[in-house]
Amino acid sequence: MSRSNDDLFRGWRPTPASPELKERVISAVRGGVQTQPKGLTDRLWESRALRYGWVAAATVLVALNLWLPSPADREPYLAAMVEEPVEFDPVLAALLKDHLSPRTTWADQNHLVPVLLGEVRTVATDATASGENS
Amino acid sequence: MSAWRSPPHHLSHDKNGDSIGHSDVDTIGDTLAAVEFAVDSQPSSRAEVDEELKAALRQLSEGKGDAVERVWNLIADDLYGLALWRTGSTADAEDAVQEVFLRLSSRPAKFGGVRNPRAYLLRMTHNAAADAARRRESPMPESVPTLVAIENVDARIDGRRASDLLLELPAAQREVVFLRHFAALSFREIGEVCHIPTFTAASRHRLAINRLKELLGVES
Repeated sequence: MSRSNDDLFRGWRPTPASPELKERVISAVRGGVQTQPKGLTDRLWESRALRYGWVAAATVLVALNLWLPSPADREPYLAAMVEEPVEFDPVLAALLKDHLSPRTTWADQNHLVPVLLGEVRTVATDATASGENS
Repeated sequence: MSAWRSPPHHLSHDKNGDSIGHSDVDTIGDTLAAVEFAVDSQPSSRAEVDEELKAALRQLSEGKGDAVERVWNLIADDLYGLALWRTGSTADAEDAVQEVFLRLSSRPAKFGGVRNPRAYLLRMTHNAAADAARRRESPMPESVPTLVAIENVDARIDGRRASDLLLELPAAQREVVFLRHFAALSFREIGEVCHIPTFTAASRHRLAINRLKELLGVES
C-alpha cells in the first residue's frame, strides 16, 4: 500500500518471491532446525550411556564423601577448635561466668569477645562510680 | 506484496496523505475493484499484519517450527522485493532472503520480543542484500523485472519500462522508494532500516521519484 502522496506505481507491485524459493528456504530452515546441536539436558535425557555416566558420577561422589576423612579428622588443630573445651584464665572466667558452659570450645571465642568487652565496661563504670562516692 | 496489497486508486491517499473515498467513482469496474479489494485483502492494514508477524515470531521463539512458514507468508514478498530492488539480481535477492530466514531459525529466541518486526526483518534483509551485492564481482548479469502488473487496476505508468529505469537509479535510492511505496514504512523507519538519518531517507525518496517521473514523462 502506497503511503506516498502520489500513486506513481498504481497498477504495479514488486515482483514476489517465487514458490520455488519458498520451498527451498522452508526446507533449508527445517533442515537447519533439525541439525541444530541439542542442549546438555536433552542429550542427558535421550542418551542411555550419558544417563549411566551421570548416575555413576553421582555414586562415586557420594562414596568419596563417605570414605574420605573430614577436614577435622585430618587436622587435629581444627578438631580441637571445635571439640575441646576451652580453659579460661580465672579472671576472664569470672567475668564471663554467665556465658560459659562446660561445652564452650575455642571455636566460641569470637562470640565471647563482645560479651567480654561489655563486662569489662560494666566493671570499669562501677569502679569509677564507687571511687567518686567514697 | 505479501499479505496485503495496494488498494485501487480511488481508495488511495490525497495530496496530504489522508485517506479519501472518491465520489467520482464513475465506472462499475472501479466499484467492483473496490469491493474486491475490501473483501480480498484481509488483513487489510499494516498494523494487523505486524501483529500477526509478532505472534508468528513469538511462536517461533517458543520452538514452534511451523511458524516459519507463517512468517514467510506474512513478510517474504516484502523482503524479497527489497533485496531485488537493492541488488538488481534475482540470485542475490534469493540468497539474501534465504540468509535472513536461516538466521531467523538459528536463533529464534532473539526475535520473540522485537517491537517492530517488519522494520527489523527488512533491516536484516538490507544488510544481507548489501553484503551480497558487495560479494558480487561481475556486473549484474540480467535485467530483472522489479515490478509486475496487478490485474484489473489501471496503471499510470508503463511498469516494464519503469522496471528497467528503476535499475538505472542508484541502489540506495531504489530501496528507499521500495520501502516507502511497497513496504509502507515511514521515513524514520526507512532511516533505521538503511542506517541513514530520517532527512536523508526523505531526500533520497524525493530525488528518486522526481528522476523516475522525469524519465517516464509523468507530470508531478
